[in-house]
Amino acid sequence: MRHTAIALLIMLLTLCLPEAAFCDSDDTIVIEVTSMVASSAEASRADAEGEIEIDPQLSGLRKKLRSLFAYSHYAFLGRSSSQTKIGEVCVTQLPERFVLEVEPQVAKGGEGLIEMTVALIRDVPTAGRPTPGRQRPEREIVLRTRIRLESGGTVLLGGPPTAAGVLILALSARR
Amino acid sequence: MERYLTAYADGELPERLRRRVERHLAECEACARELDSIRTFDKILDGASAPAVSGGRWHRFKSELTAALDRVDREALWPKRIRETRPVFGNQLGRRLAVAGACVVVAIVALTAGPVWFGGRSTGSGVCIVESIETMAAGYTPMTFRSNDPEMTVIWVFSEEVEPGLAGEGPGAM
Repeated sequence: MRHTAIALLIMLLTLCLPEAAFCDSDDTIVIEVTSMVASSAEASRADAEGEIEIDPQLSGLRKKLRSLFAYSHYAFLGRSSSQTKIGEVCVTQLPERFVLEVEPQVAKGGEGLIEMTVALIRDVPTAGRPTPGRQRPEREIVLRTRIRLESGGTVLLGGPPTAAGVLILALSARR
Repeated sequence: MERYLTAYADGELPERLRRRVERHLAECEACARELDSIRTFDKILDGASAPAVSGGRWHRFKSELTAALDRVDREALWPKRIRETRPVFGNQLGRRLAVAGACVVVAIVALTAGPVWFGGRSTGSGVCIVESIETMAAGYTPMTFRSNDPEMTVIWVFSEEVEPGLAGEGPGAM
């Protein structure tokens, strides 16, 4: 009887372990952003060969990219991971003056979903000589969205043009 | 051949087997002695009178005999190795090993499936609900796409600069 009780206690503790083990704290949310540029500059050659060039550093997204888009070339730009909390803005600097701001919100519902406001902003330099009051470039909100993402899930954001192609971001969030 | 002696003494063997037994008895003294014993015993039984047994006692004896025969039949049907198997958790060490094994199994299941039960980690389905989407920049059109294979939500801003006329059709093959 005593052994049974101990075994049950161990089972209960084990079942509770994952929640404690995988969560740094109740509020902490890890935001991961993988940025890339997609282009079809060599579309004719790639199409002819039936191949798509995807940077090896994007191998984890290969299947998704192939099935979702028709671009023939995907170049890796960077990957960042940062911790934030509900109500705190997580800022990720991107190439060509793009900035991604992610602000987790208090979840209204949905077990395991992370609610957040995501804004893709482009800093536009102001024309003319900078003055003390206008040193900061203007911010152009290219995209602002409010989403609820499953913890550990990924959403793709993209579309804005850059010099090398179209900017695509893979945004992941987990508790 | 010894197992046929009783049936031989009672005259129950078929002709062919009866002749084989007789040939054997002519050469084997031990079986011949055994046959004599059987016949002597049969004579004693034939000469003895049956004891008087009351109805109740006879009924009880019949019940006990039937139960004993059933038990013998059951044991005869079971393979020996099953009959001789001891309970798996019959000793203290066995019980402890069983509990430890159960804990290990539960731990493995909890570590793999537990986070999903608690909603702490992803199931890999990538559920994403887009509640609102907008742009404040000129020349962009925001849209949301959802693919089932692979399950993925795409939030896209079409730019007139790059993809004139593509809005509404999706980026490439979407």
